Amino acid sequence: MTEPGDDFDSMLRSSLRQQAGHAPQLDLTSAALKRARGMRTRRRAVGAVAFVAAAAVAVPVGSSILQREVEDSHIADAETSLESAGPAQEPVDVSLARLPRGDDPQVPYIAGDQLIHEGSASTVPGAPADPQDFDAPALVDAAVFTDGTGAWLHDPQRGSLTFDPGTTSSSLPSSGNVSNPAVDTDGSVAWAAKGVDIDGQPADTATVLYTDTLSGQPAYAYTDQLAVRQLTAVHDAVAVFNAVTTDGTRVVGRVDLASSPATVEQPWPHIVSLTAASPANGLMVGRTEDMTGSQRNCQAMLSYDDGSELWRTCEWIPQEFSLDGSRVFAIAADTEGFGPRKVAVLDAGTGETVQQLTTAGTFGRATFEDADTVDIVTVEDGSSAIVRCRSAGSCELATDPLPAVPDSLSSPYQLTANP
Amino acid sequence: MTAQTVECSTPLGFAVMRSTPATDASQQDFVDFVAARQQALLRFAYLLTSDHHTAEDLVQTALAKTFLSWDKLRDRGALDGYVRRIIINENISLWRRAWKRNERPSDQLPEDVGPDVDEGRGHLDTLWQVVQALPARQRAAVVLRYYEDLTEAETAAVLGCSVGTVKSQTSRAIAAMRSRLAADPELLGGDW
Repeated sequence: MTEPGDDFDSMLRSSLRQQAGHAPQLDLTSAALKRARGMRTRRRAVGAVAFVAAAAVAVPVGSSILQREVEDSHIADAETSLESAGPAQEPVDVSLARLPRGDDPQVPYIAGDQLIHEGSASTVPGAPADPQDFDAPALVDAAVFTDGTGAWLHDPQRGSLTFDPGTTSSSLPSSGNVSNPAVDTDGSVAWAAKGVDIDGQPADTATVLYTDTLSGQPAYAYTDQLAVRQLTAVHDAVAVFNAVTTDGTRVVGRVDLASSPATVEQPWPHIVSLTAASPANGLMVGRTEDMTGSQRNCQAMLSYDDGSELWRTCEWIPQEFSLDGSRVFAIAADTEGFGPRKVAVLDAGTGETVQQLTTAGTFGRATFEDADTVDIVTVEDGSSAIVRCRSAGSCELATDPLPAVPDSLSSPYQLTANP
Repeated sequence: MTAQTVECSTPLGFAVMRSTPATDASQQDFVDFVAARQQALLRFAYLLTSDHHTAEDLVQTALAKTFLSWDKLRDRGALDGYVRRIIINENISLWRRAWKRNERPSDQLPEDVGPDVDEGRGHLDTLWQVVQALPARQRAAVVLRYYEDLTEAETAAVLGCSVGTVKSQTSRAIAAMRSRLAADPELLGGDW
């Protein structure tokens, strides 16, 4: 082993130079100009809307001052026209300081105290009933369950799940080898570990592990040479994933972990990648072969059965389905560098916008309580809370605001994935 | 940490004046600038993100924003810093969405940071692993100081913060990297 010594600076420079050589070689001129035109169009549209809105307020007010008696009917007309624009379609501004406090989230969430809260119960994750009974193969040595505030580390050898604040995915010894988790309807969790075999030994294979969240008890495992990078969903132990073949081709696959032997299917060969899936409701979001290149940021709502396209959007990136699959939470595709400040609830069947929300801060992960109610982690001006918003247009605090984690710029609140 | 050290978002000293968006005549200037600088900017963005697609997206967005302000930018000599500043801010915004980067399925598959047989696993790769573990702003400071070879003052201008903040961010990053290397022998010779 080599200790970092006085030549640390020069080693660091060399390392950075070496890695910089891996940067893509591209001509971005056309793409940048095209994106600039899109930005300018949006800004003009926003400016026009702002002008109309200001005029809708200023004109009636001014009129009421100067010609109060004469223009009463005009004021009424202006108000009527604003309402007819459809209040549900107007973005709702989410400002933590102005929101009333409502009930606690009706979905599990993790607060800064590192407890999982569900209803009135608060659970310390990773406390198996009897660790001595835990006899799991060492499939993975660590797993990431959370965002930038830290990492949930799963240790199947000890049957423990512990929180390590400040740890990020890339700082974990095996971080690059562990995918995001996907949650099944019974609360089981699946994730993929790349670069290990079914015994947990380094190998040119990937292993999908299906385990109970709180006990860490593994139920099923599947090993394949496909490099499984992301689990999009798992339903009744059938996992849907994004993977890369040994020759570098992206594929979308499906594996029934409970079958013996488990085999991978690729039922949608024309789909390049999946962003979200709701197998129980027959829907998924992803990108098809014909949406490459300039449409890279566009997403299509697809049938889970045959991959046929229902609708597509280049304005939104759908992220999370409601439990019944009728709605999908989406973030704006173009954040112009400010993070997700605009989000929406879309009708999953048609793509129509049900509700738009904006914030001066940043929106985080969202989970539906029901089709008309969505909980969203929101960070604004150094504090963060889970906000509950209803399709009718009202929003409230579902948790008390907590200071945002210094340096990490992330929320102490975390919402888990919808099963 | 004082408020000053985290407040790195003060208006940048890139002088601008009120003007109209880029005209057709100035578009060629912009195209020339992109042709000359895009590869360097892509390398810079890649060092911040470790991801080809994210780097491309960051640079593309930064260039688009630069184009929209092209005729307002008086000091063309500061263009590189201006674009880098946008790239850094964009990246931090992405980084805030850690759930997307680390947890959420997305169109962009995460980069493989595990063992790479073709490239070997020398100390340089090891250092790259710990660089990737740095918080976004510390990583930006390290890349600007150790890859772009900017002075502390130049780095402060790009990051939009004080020289003192650059010093503290950089020293904290170096300390974290040294600590990480010292504490985890596997990083220097382990199988993962």
